[in-house]
Amino acid sequence: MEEIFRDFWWLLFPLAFLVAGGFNAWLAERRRSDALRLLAAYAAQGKEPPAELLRSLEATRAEPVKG
Amino acid sequence: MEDLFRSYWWLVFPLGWFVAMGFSSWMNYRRQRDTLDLLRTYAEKGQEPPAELLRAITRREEAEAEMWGVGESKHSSDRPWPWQSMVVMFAVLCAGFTWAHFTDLYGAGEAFAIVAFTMGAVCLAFLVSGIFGRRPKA
Repeated sequence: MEEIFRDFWWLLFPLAFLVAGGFNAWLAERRRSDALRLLAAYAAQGKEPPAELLRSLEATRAEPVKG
Repeated sequence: MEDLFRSYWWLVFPLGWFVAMGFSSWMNYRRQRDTLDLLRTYAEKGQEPPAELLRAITRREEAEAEMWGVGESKHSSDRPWPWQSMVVMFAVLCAGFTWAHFTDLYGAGEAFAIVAFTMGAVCLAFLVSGIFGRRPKA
């Protein structure tokens, strides 16, 4: 086991980046769903949502739509 | 086990950085969730939320994006992007590790070759990105 670690310790870095990427994607997804729930609350009230809320939703969007 | 730790104690620092960044991300997320919860309370009561509270939503998004060096922050286009300093830093690191490789420093010459190659690749990536990528506004 120790020998395997000595040979492949450098794998820790790409794996850590993968884990960090996954963790960030998960947090971004939670942010989006929180923002959408808040938008639903505004919609239920029949009120216009604040521009900042819409902007934050756009910032967490995975692929920006152009045009 | 003790021998393994003696050989790889320095791994604590980069891995610690990953853990700290992850923890900071989680805290940022919690702060933003609390802000949104507060906004929902205002929305459900039909009240107008304070402007500062609304600004806090986008501010934290930008802080998070800047921390990981991703996304477009509101202010990023206003600041000059210091790609030249990154190129210099990684070039010096690459040169240092190349020297360590050729002198077989600590008897780990082969490992230093991998690190030198990585530093060189990052240096080139910054150089190409700085020249052909996003430029700071004049």
